[in-house]
Amino acid sequence: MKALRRSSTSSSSSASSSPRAPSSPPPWVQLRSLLVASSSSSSSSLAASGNSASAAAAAAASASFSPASYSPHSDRGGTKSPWSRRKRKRPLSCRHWNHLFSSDGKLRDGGRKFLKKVRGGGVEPDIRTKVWPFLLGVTEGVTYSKGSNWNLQTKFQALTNRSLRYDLNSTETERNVIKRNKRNDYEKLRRKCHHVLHSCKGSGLNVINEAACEYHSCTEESEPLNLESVSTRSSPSPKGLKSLRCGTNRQENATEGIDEDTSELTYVDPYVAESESSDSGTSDEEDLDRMSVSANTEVNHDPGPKFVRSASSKSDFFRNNKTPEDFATWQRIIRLDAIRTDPEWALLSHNRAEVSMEKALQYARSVGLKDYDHLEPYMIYHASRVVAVLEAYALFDPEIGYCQGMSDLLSPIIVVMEEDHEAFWCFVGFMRKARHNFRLDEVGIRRQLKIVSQIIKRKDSHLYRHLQKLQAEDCFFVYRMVVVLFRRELTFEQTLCLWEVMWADQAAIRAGIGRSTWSKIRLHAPPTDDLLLYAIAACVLQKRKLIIERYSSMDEILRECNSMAGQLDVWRLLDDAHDLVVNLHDKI
Amino acid sequence: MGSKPPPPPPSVSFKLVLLGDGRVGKTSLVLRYVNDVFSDKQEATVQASYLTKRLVVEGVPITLSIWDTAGQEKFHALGPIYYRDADAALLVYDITDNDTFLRVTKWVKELKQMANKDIVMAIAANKSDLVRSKHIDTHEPASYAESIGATLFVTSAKAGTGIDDIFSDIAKRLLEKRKNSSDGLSPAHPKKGILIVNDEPEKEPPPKCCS
Repeated sequence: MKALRRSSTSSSSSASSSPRAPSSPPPWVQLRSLLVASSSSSSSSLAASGNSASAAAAAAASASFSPASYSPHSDRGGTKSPWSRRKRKRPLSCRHWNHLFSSDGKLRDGGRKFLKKVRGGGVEPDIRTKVWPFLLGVTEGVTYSKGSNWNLQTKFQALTNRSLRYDLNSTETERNVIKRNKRNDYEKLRRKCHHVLHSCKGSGLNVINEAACEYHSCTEESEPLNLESVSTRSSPSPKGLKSLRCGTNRQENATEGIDEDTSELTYVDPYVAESESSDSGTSDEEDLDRMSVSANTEVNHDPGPKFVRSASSKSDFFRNNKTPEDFATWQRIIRLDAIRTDPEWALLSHNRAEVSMEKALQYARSVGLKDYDHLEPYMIYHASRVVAVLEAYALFDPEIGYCQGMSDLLSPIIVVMEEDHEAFWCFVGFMRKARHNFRLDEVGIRRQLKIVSQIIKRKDSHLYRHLQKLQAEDCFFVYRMVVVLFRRELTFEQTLCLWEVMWADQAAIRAGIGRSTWSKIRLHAPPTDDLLLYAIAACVLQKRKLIIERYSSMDEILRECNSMAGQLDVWRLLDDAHDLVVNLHDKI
Repeated sequence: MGSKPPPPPPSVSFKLVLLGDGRVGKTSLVLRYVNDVFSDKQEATVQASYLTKRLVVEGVPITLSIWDTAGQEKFHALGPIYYRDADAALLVYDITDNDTFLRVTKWVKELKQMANKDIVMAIAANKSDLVRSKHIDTHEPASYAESIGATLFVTSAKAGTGIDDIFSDIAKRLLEKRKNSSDGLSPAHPKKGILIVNDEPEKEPPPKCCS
């Protein structure tokens, strides 16, 4: 907040229309860029249009189509972008996809070819359902944490799941096991959601609030819902408690029967957990115990750093009593947001035509959707699924809970993944990184805005100075792009393409491909966790001329950024981003 | 200055910020006012969006720069960015949900402390179309509004009622304030947020001055 707080300067307000960037460079731009590219070997600053065009020129200069091939004529640090116009790959097809697997259903070469292919051109729509779980690491280390009643069987299961880090090296049989377990896990979460919803029925928020203290005192003795998790336990006093505020004795009694397994599924960053266990040399079992303890910060057994952070930020936050958001609030907002999803997105669902009114209404009732009378059956169905998954996520990751914008990220996944449990785990995979965008302390956002700012600073000092002059060098104006990952600026198909490329990059890093071998890509434009940020910076740089010459306040730049919807060319963005990665990845 | 005879008086610009809980209808109010459209599937605002509206009050052309903010409490921290030098705040709540009114009172407290001292405030009791009875009881909110020097309007973005009224009320009060504080509307008085504009924004870039 401190970094974001700014004195927005004068509100020079009149809207000046911006010259709209064409969605793809016209032929003459390419022609011109050929000249540009041949006359200069390094572009120090990006011209508004010359940039992507020069990449096209670079591509045209070479007949080779290997993304990593070196071209001396290129002005892009010697590496041609896999996303330039001429080099653009076709998306991964069904035939190709099937070809990537060996007879036991294992991806050949640890998924290198697969990721490279997706990175270059995305995925064909008809196989997204199959491919996304791989991209999003759904079958990777399970994120488990638990409360009490941790019986041997679940412990074993969790251990098995955790050790089966089969990500891109899994066989089909292994994946089926994981899939089944994950389905059960999801259903468990849903049962909890369902219970909370129905035990709160008929009582307004106020009633729930009043029950807060009572609930807390009960949790000391019994473990009713296991929803309190980090936030409740770290809350210093019952009076300050603003966490889950739903429960009375009556409800708890009801819970006992329903909640057959009180093990708790909560977000634990698998990579943090993994490195902790390997660094400290503890066994998996100890590690698990530690995790379960660390979720309960009253007993401090040297919890992992992850939990220390989350617990302290949460308790600080509750102590300050700044944002009393709780599960009940999240449930309410999730329902409000779900019914106002962009209908065009839901329209793209595969099974849209199959959704009968009856089916939709049944689902809507079961998740407690409201005010949906005006919606078409497929929208009601879509909204209900959104509610189900978001709610489960809020339980799963109580540090984040629900924040507006998350439904933007989930909607495309709901459209692509037909099963809720698959959508949920894909979403979890997506949120592994994106969750930092929704943290209350805005650490994640601030870090990312800073990177965007640094990219611009290094690439285009002239533009950067202009931004400084307008007190806009913190790049606050790209906030929305960062938070919802271009979802509001791009069309459905474009969004999915960008995300797929981004996920492939992130998956490559997780699989260690970026660090080991990926032919020459490694040297020139390695996969980056922050591809999105490079794309955002590229997007700003594409408007540099406009910003420098026409805009004299942050407000104007923000308005420009907010009105980019439908005007961006995702491949051009990626192409420009590639250039930035090549030049700057080791400097940022 | 004038392309159309007779030359119009210079336009005065004000910054207006919309604040209120999530899904009370902030974006819908603005879109109804500026573009005269309504969608019951309006997506949640992330961060903020920006629109301008021109109107003429007592012969003076006014440009309202309207900042529409995200409602969820999580985005509360972004509030200062928008209300910092706002001339006016339009606080919106959902007439069918008392909690959203409480949120308005929270915003008012914050504005009193943090925003311009002379910020003009108005409260919109939105979604009146959802209230079945013809008599809408706004006794309490209205007296609250009076106590803080704000005006309260019952609005419905869906039905399009009360919206022009509330925005022109704000504009009138802004103009009065400006008149009282500066003996006129001379652009030479370089107050923050004032800007001379002369043409339709979408068609031609305006001349820049006195930012």
